[in-house]
Amino acid sequence: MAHLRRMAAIVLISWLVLPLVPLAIWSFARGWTFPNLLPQNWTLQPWAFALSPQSGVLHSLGLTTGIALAATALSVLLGVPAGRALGQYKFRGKTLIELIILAPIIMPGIAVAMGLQSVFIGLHLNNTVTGVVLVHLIPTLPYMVLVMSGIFAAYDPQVEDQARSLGASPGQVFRHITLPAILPGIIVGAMFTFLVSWSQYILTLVIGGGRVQTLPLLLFQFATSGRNDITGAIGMIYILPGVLILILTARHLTGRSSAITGFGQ
Amino acid sequence: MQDRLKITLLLTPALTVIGVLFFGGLGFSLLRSFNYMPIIGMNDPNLDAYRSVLASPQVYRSLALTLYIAATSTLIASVLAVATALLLRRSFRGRAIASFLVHLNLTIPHLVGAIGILYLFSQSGSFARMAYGVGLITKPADFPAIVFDPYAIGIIATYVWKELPFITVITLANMQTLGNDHESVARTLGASRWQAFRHVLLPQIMPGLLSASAIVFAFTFGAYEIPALLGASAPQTLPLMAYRGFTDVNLASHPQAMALAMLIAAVSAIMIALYTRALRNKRRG
Amino acid sequence: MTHLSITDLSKTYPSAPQPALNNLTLDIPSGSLTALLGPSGCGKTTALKIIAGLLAPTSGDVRLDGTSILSQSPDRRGAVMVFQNPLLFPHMTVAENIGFGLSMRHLPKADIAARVAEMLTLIQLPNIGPRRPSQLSGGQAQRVALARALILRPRLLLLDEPLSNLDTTLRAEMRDLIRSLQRTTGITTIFVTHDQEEAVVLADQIALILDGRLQQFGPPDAFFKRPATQTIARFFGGVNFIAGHNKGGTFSSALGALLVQADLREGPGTLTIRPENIRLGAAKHNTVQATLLERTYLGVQTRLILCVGGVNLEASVNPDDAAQLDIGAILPINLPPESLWLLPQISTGANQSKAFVQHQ
Repeated sequence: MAHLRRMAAIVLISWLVLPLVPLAIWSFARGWTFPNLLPQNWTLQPWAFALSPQSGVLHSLGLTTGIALAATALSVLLGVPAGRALGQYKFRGKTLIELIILAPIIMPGIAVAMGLQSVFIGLHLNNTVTGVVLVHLIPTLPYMVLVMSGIFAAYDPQVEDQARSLGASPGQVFRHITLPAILPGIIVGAMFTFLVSWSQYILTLVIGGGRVQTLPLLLFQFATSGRNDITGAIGMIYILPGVLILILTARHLTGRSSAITGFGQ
Repeated sequence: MQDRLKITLLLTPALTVIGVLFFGGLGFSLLRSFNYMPIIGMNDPNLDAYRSVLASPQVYRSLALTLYIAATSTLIASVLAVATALLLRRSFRGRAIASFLVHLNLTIPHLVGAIGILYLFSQSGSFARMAYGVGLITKPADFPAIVFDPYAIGIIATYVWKELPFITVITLANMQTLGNDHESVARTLGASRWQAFRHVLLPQIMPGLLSASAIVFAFTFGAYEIPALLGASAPQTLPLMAYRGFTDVNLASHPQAMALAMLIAAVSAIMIALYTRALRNKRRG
Repeated sequence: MTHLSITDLSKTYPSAPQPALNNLTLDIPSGSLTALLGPSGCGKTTALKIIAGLLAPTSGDVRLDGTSILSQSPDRRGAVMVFQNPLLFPHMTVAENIGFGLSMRHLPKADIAARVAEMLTLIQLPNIGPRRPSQLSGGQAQRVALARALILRPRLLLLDEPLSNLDTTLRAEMRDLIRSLQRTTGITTIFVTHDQEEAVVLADQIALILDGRLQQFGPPDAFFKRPATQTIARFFGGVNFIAGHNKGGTFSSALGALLVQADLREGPGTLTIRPENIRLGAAKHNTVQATLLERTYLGVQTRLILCVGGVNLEASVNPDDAAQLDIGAILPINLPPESLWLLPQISTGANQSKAFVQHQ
């Protein structure tokens, strides 16, 4: 049994790490032809090219980061209040509202984005960064609401009443009582939301019309053009925020899993 | 009454945004699938797009392929995820690494996974090179087509790689909440290891597992970039077909693309229904 | 009828400095009800889990009727464990829970249903079969857990703190139920408890375990009358300890020369007498003059603190007898020789007794 478990663990670890290995090697390879198991020559050139202005990677990186930050900020602003309502109160029609908020997580983006594009044309939001930020809210906002409703379900609002009776104004209560209590949740939720936006492909493609070239769009382009070395370098850059966030949040990174446990209470 | 007002105020901004963007988008897709678009002078809604879509054998092949990919990926990922969760539940040497990789994988975009699978499994990829090294093949073309192939093995491999950790994390959290006392009781009551799993643990993790599987199914059914990168040129999956129609210079093909999008949405809606049912059962239990 | 023998059983958990269980040896007669008594963390649940097969011991052996069962998996041992929490399977009805073990053996459904009905009657809850565990009270759930174990007619029944999650009234009811079920079925039963009173009331014999070691094993009254060490005496409410020397049936101490029974060991030792055995007034033997320091009325009895020759003694007496006594008065008391018991001079576990007092 123990033997079997060890074997299973080795298979699992290999399977998880394996697809990343050729990607990483390619980013340091020069002329890695069939059938060599490793590149004949090692080089930093793919990285140098990826980080040079002409490749457009840096531009895409800035664009992707900006879009993800904007979508996250909006999600926090809109999602924290909604999370409070769903986490703290029981009311008629709550199940329906939960369903309305959950639906965008499950419904494939392509079905929504194609219809939205025809509306955005009229609003001149098509092919714009603003349009892309807005469409990214479709998957990011529900996640933020989910995370926050979990946080608020575990938060006792009586401490706010206590603070009020001790002479705090509503503003002071929010600033000194509510915010510190929910801040860790907001941070975890925000990092998660950031990653959700960071990973979007089809929403950006449809609404951005190819003009708003985020990192995944650029990565796809290089991947299909056979530039494996540059693709490897961009791929490594592209997974970096996820790795950082994983290290920062350690084991809290189960935001998507709160979609399973459902809303608080 | 005051609570009611407060709840309304708290919910309105988020619901408005989701309502306008999500339901608005979906609604417009629906209207256009009925050939209804007053702005460009299409004032008579009809079912032409659906008629032509449902008459096309290409669409059925595409639907079959898409369902096959989603079902196979979900099934394989779910079964392996339960096994992985059972493995990670125990302590063993290397569990920390395995657990870190499972979580790391959650953060990696699907596209990167797909490229990794491409570089591993393509006919000039790492595995082909290894096969050459041990003398199994003499040229790249001898290596079996695992990507761009009709069986969509590369696509399924990517989904299994990416979704296995997702289902694992949920199932493992579930198992850890449950603890293993129930299984211990079952064991002393005469249940074998398998019986304790089958009759005691599995029924208890099932609601969470079903919910996770529903999400994975809906995602794999509607995803674009992975089949776009790894799929064969024909048949294509539904999302690819829809997007192709959508970007066609011939505006007449747009309603058909929208009808395909509605088909995708309908399948996902069924998944949402199953998901909420599982969630309700879980709460009751 | 199953005879259980445990030999030199030890368990050290990985990364724990101390063994959780240290060379436990016990011989449990067939058909008896045995308590493993000790404070939480003393290793008693570890012992139970090893017997059930849920834990592997570091060393030692467990034999049922002479055959070692350590190599058998938990489902083959015929040793059924009932946990502190009822741990009913939430996705099954009460009837399915009780019938679980039988359905694992693939018995015909009709037979299972008949025996489940029988068990429901036995636990005096005949109508709850179709209910879900979430609809049961704590006491009901615990009874169902017991029925789920007993239906298998196990060779050995292992109960882990079966009463600790119940409130006082339910606890007494459940205690009586366990006692009567054990008597009627004759199943060799071991139960783990931290409650000294529960062990005394319920068990045929008690194994007292402190810090993973067996301290004393015997019938309940032996722990009151003949405790092996001062630690054990304290555990069972002993408070009076008098240092001195025993020679030829006479114990010399600060209280003077006391007559003791002839079979007590000779040499230096600690004399102990339970508070309820100290008598007011003079008697033929062992009468001493005591100064009354404190008097506390406790309802059914009155507690007196008395000073004799610089040694403080605690006595429990009839409230009526103590009502007229004044603080500071000097009065005769006697210590009946048959109530005196001699302990080894130095307690083997000074630290243990301290730890336990804190636990109390």
